Amino acid sequence: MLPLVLSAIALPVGIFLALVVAPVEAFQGEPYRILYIHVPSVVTAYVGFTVTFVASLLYLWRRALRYDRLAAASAEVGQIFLTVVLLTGPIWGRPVWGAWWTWDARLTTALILWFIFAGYLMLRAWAGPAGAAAAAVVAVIGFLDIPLIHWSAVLLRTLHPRPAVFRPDPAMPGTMLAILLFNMAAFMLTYLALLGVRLQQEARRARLLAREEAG
Amino acid sequence: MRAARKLAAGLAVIAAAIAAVAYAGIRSAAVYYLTPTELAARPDLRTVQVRLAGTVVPGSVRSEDGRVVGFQISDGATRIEISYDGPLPDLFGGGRDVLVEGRLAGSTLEATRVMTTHPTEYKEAPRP
Repeated sequence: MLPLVLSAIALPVGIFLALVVAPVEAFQGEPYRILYIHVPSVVTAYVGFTVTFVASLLYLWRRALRYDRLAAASAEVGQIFLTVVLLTGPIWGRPVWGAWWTWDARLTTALILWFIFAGYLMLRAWAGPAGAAAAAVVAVIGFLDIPLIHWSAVLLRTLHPRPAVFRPDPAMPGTMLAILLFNMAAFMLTYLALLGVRLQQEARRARLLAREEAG
Repeated sequence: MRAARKLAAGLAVIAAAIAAVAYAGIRSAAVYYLTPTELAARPDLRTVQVRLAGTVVPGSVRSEDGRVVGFQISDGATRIEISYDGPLPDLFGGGRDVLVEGRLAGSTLEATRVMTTHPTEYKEAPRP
């Protein structure tokens, strides 16, 4: 309950900071403000899929259903944030690059991640509990795309810029960085809140099913 | 049984989509762009669609009736003439880094799309 309340407060504050308090960027002007949604979303999606990856490995190892439920819930929430990334990216690219989309390595590998987890969620929805192990394998393999996405802009030629924040010397003034970190915290809280709700629902459903079988 | 077939069909569609996107992506992303110097050294690319990166040479932008119709880009060593009459991004201008997609016609690149790139670094704009 606490993450729900905190994120409901932190999200609007973060948007206010991004749109009103943050300074204008020297090169890009106003459109750069979408950074404060785009980057926190991608970080949160990565965290979500990392939790899914670890929980899937644990499920394959221990076969305990709570790991499977954690993997599924985290992937659902992660996919929401990845969808936000793939929607805000083109909105940012249009004014700054003059293109909604381009097939560079960064954008392409990010889109592939979305397809992998769309497949993962469809597999879960259709195959049900019988597909839990198969879904876990898809999640473990799909997760390997994340390092590809991260390193694509560092190692290959891309239109998408290299990471500006996740490096030893963040290439950003302190005010911008502070607001960005605030938004990351707010997005992470939202992730935790949504994850908690889904875990509660699924645990309750498992209890109901168990009671039905016993009775 | 029907559920299993639906599942298999769904997975096949997703696998095909991933493969198509990966193929399209890797084909064009492996070498996402060339520099003018690299293009000059590759006569085999004179007839195909290429993507070039360079800086718009200041003062090289040509306009007709207020519309940009061409400019030159350079990587410091090689200059190439670009002809183009489509929409330009807001950040386009002399001295800006651009990506140009198109095909060579003689020594001029006939561009079909022009994109601007921007530095990774973020800086605060001076207050007015």
